[in-house]
Amino acid sequence: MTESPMVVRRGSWLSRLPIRRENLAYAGIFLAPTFLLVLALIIYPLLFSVSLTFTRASTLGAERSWVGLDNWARLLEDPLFRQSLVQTVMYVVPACILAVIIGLGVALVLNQDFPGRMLVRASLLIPWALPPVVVAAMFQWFLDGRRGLLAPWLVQLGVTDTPVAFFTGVPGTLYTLVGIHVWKTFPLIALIFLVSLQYLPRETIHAAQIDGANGWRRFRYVTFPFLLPTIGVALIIQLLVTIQLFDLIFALTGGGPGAYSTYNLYFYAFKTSFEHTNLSYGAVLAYVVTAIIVIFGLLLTRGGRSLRLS
Amino acid sequence: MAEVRLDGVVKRYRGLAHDALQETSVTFKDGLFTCILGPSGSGKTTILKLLAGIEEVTSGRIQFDGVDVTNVTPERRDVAMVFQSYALYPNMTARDNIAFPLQLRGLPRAERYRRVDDVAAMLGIGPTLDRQPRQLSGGERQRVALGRAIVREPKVFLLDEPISNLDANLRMTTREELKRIHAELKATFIYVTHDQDDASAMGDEVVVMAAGRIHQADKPSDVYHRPADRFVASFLGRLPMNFLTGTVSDGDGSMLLHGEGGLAIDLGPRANGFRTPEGQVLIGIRPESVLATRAVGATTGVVGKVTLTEVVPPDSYVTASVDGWSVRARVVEGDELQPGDSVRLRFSLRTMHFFDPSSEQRLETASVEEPS
Repeated sequence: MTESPMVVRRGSWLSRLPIRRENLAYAGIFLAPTFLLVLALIIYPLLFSVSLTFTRASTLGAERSWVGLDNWARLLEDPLFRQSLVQTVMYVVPACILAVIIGLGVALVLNQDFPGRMLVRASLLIPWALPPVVVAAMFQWFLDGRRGLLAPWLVQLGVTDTPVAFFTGVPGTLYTLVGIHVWKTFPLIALIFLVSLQYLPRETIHAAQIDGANGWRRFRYVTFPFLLPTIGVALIIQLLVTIQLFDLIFALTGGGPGAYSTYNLYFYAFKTSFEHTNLSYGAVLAYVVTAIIVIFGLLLTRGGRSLRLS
Repeated sequence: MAEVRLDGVVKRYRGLAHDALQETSVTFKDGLFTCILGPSGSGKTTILKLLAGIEEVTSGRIQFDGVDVTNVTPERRDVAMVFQSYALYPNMTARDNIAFPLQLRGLPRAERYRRVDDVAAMLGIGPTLDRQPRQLSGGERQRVALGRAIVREPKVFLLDEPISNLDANLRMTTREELKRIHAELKATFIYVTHDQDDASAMGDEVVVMAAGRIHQADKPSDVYHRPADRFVASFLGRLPMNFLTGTVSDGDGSMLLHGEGGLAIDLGPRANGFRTPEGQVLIGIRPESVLATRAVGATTGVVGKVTLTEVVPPDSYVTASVDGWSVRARVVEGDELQPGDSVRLRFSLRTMHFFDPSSEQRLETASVEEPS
């Protein structure tokens, strides 16, 4: 293409924008409100929070003093940070594995033809759509040691001798939360798999069947390899969701029982900032979580690219 | 290697008013190449799916070599199927796609790959074996799918329009190849297509289907020259058949055809052994057996006016109006006709097809049918 007189291609970055020069003023006017919003709601808070990590600040007072890297250095000596980090992993690993296995299983079942399939598919999303506080209240009642439903059942069925204490054990309580979290999040994972399965042609499965593959081998050699990229994506999505697990902890345990036994980094950051009013160190913790999320988020976008079909 | 029989098979899908397959009994002879020919929705692919076992019959039995396989699962039927979409395994190389059936049968890797190489050589896809399906062209995918079927040496090959996605030239060479492969393997081939050229090029037998029903099962030349009913007559042939309702009677030394609107056509002297059909009949005449000549200079034939001209190499055709009846006819070589020209049309009794006007079944007139 020859040089178009309307699009200026040389000069400063501004003049290289695909905008006619005489329209630049309009562009500025139209973009200004959005730009101001972004500045006020995203860029300024971001910069402010970065600056927070180098000062001593609290939510109570206005006085702030410059402390350099002290807040960051504190990470290294903070046992509760280490514990929260370890517990974050304790949440993430089982939550990812369980949600992907259950989600995959449910998706495979829902991908079959059976009467009432649409109804089951629709009801699948209920746990996911419920507000976290409702889920918390529901399980608090369901799992309560004395008044709850499940513990007496287990005793009656002879599974346990005494009612199981779902919310008092260490680290048992953490796994109770993992269980509830998985119950709430697996529908999304199942949905992702279900969508992906729609792209696996029925004919390919039929071909495998005619070639002599039984159900397990059709899954092992055709469906599973086909779903591998999706499994990667599902794992990372579940990881991101689980790192940010907060509401269930807040509503059900408040970080206990015992010594912070259900803390994760996210919850610790919240506690530090808003209950111990140490905004600076809270911001540092939040940035640690952010860093983890950004790293895995980038992995997700790369995984998503490999998900694209030929 | 296997004779395949459908015995009173019906297939009905939930929520569909019409049976996908009405009660059907048909035998696919051992070692023959049978083409199931029909328009879309005729139930031809349904037959393949029932034979493969990926659909269950609503009623009736399916037999392979006299053994009832109606309730045998696809993985145990020992049939191979090539899908129109090829249905290759997207995560495997071409080699592993072809080797997959052997892998499932527990053959050691070296033996698997040796047989894959043999098949690949036969199909000329040796150099593409290490590629994944998405890196292959349509023709290569089709060959890989074919290879995956051949490598198993099955009793029955089911082919669902495997070449309809290829370009015209490739389609022609693939037809020859399929024919050669069939001659080599001597297995029972059942080939579904909507393309009559496929059927006439490859089929030992042709089964013509429409709306879930078999209309005729015969040799390829027979379905063209002796169509069993109006549907078969109109479905086969390059150009649509001419139809009219009328009576045929013995005239003064020659046969006369009387149609609606005072149409009268002299059909020439009565052929030997021709039995005149009684009363009103449906008459089908292929455009290629009606000859059109320029009216000027011709003395015989019915006079008509050209309304449309078309070229179907190597011949030219005109559509002419004769007393309100629109008829397509082949132009005698050398004549060039324009819309508006007067033409004379000559019909011949021996190439006419007679059908019962209500049942649309063929009426046998015992005239000696010869290829035109």
